[in-house]
Amino acid sequence: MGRIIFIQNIIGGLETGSLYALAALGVVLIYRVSDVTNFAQGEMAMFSTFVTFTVWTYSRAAGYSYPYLIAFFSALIFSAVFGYLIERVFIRPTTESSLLGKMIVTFGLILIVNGSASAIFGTDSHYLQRAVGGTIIISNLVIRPHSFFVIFLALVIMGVLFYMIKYTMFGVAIRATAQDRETARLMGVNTIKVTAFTWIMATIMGAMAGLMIAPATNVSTGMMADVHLKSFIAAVLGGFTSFVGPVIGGLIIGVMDNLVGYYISTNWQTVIVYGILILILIFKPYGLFGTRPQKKV
Amino acid sequence: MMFQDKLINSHPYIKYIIVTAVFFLVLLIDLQFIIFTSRTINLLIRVVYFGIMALGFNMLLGYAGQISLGHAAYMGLGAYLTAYFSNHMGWNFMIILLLSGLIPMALGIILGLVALRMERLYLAIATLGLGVTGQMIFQEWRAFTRGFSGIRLERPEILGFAFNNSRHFLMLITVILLLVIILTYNFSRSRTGRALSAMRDSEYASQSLGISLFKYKLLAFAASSFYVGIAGSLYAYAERYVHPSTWGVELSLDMLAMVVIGGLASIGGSLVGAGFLVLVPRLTAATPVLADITNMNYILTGLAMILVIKYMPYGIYTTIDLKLIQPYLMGRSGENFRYQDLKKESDS
Amino acid sequence: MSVLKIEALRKTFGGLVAVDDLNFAVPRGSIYGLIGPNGAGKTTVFNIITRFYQPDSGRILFHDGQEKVDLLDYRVHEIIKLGVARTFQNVELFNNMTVMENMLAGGHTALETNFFQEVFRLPGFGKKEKEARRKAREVLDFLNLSGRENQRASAQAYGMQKLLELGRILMTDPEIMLLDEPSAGMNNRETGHLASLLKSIQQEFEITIFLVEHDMSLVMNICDRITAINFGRKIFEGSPEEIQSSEAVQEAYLGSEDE
Repeated sequence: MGRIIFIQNIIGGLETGSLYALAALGVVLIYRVSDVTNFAQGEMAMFSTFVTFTVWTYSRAAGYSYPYLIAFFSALIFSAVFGYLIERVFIRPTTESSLLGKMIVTFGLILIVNGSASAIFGTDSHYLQRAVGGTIIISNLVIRPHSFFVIFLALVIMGVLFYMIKYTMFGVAIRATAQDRETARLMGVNTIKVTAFTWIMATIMGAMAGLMIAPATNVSTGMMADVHLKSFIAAVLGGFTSFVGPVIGGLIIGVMDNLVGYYISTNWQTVIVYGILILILIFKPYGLFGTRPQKKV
Repeated sequence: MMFQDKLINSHPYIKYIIVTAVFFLVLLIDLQFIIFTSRTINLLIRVVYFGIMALGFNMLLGYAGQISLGHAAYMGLGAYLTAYFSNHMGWNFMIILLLSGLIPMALGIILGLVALRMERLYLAIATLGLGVTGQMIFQEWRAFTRGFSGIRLERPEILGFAFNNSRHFLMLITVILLLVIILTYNFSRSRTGRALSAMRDSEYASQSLGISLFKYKLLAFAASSFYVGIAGSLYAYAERYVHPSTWGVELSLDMLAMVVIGGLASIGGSLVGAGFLVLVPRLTAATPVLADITNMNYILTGLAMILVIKYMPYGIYTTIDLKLIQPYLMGRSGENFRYQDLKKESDS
Repeated sequence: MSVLKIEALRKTFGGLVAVDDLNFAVPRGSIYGLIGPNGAGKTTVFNIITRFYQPDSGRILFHDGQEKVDLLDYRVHEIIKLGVARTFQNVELFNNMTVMENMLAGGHTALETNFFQEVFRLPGFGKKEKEARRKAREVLDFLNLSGRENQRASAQAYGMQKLLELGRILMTDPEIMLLDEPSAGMNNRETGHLASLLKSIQQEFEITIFLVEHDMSLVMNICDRITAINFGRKIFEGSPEEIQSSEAVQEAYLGSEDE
């Protein structure tokens, strides 16, 4: 029995872990390309999830045949538009700010997005269904197909992203911009387009993470607080200087989170995971896969 | 002009003393004739203790260029310590106030020893976790905080005089604020304060001039947690109730918003920022259309932060100070340009 | 008698050799130049001496007239107390502070007020602070920067900023000043002024000057002795005249221009 519970925890960990990975990858992508640490990623994901929820409720009430599917695709479309708008309205005008200023802009965004969400959608908490319902039982092992769907979805999104970054011309432009924005621009890379695209991509990834976590947390203005913090921890653990790092960091945090939650304490789960992160950072100050940026004096 | 120059040079904080004196006079008149409603008095009380809080956070973000998203935890600790000491120990107000600053400061130093080895981005995330942890502890450590039931306490007493009247209490904390302002002013215009700002502007140059980054980052952390702890203590006395939900990341964001909106590395800016964040919810609640929108003040504060960064990188107060007050009051003599802005060229 | 002696210094960056078995000595009271084509490792040498980089091997002996120490035993913020001060290639001023405050921050280690004296303005504070300000004004005067005390450092013209950076380390009463391209961005007139300034710093204040410089006319004009390096290795050392007639040096410069 003990082993089965352990396996179940691992699967659960990989499920939430892949969501942390998605969200973390979004944060790192934006950070690398535009030097902005998007602390509003979680709130933006929450907002997208609320929109999805609204579409879902409306479609069900209207009696459409596949309400979840409609909601899912509207989430994709909405988050793409939303990401672009945020970049266009708030981020692009402040590219001339200092690094600290850019970071603070995203703190302002937290307030704006959170405030707007409670103004538009209210502060209640709502149920949202799983992407795939039901459970499968294999000799005492209870598995939700939803878990596999989540892991699968995360893998697909990350697969598409990594393929693009690695093998397409646009990917080269992204990497060049991440490496050195000014040089990339001089080489003819449209860095403005690249930045807008990364915001769109990252917002979609955040929205997917929100949509997939919603069945567990319910849809509410505070729903992303935990995922958001964990995804940042994952990014730090993996290192902000690598694209693979945050993915592995996310999975590690997800599994650790579940194990700590089950075997030690649910209340202190976040605190303990955070403590472990600090311990790791003492020995690996730039994360597991990060490298120390070379000082230029 | 000559006279003004001379006055400013020999009494650099005359500006603050005059403003406080006028404010105090108004309070005295009010005490006699009751002009303000008790609601206004409570609002002013909040501006004052949030002002002290913002001064503390500005020490960290504005003067030293370090970030923290966990300072709400230090403030909460200050508030709980005050509640605990005044309910269980019955100590003297000044001792409680001091301890409520010193203990968070000690904790800040211990945590800083670990956290300050990190760079800004990592520090932000680490302190964010710290803030979440702090709030968690306030919720769970019932023996000390009584969890979600919260703790009640009484207004302070000095030499047998109880400050039960909110007007008296406001005068008391205004005096404390003035004291804090003078100390901050002295601090910022001296060797240690300059070392902090030097570190903010160029880590390389300050190191090569003998400024130990670690020592001064730790000092900035210690000083700001002391201030914020004191502000927490005054919060507890003012509201007479301490509850864990107050000390979340939202409060840390409020601190940040105050100093950014008011003005980084500026005393007046800290106070204007505090005023802004206290008054905006009031004004929106009193405005017909806006009042119906939930959390409108969040949206306005967020917008203000971003607009300030874009259009007034020195903050509201400092922009006004540079454009209007200083040219008139100080002529050529003031130390005009010591404020931090948020433009690109100021990156180290 | 050398004030600074570099012995068998070596530094690699992930397999790439930046400084390779470098030896030279800077005589006390001299103006010493370090030259070489772009990417020769000059700034790296400065960064090792001033402890921003840790070398793989070697020693950096510093002799202040009484004691002989290895700078590698000290950390980056400690060497100023020994008397080793530096400027930076891309001016590192405290941009949001005034000219005066930059100078006073330069005098950080010399000014001995403590935290409580400062905060409560206790006796002793005023006198020391006034003394520091007096000295700062003297240095600003010497550099022709007076009248700008209360202006923002970043508002100064580039040449002024370079001078201010120089003034900032004069506040520390150094034994040796390491100047990383002091004339970069200056026009001819400013460079001429700089040359005479450096000469008088050497003579009046008796400070040893060790500089990395691209402007050959400045180097040849003021340096007593010069080391030329390429690919982190020393290719020649001698007086300005000897450097000018050295084939190795000419080859290094011409070779690098072909690339």
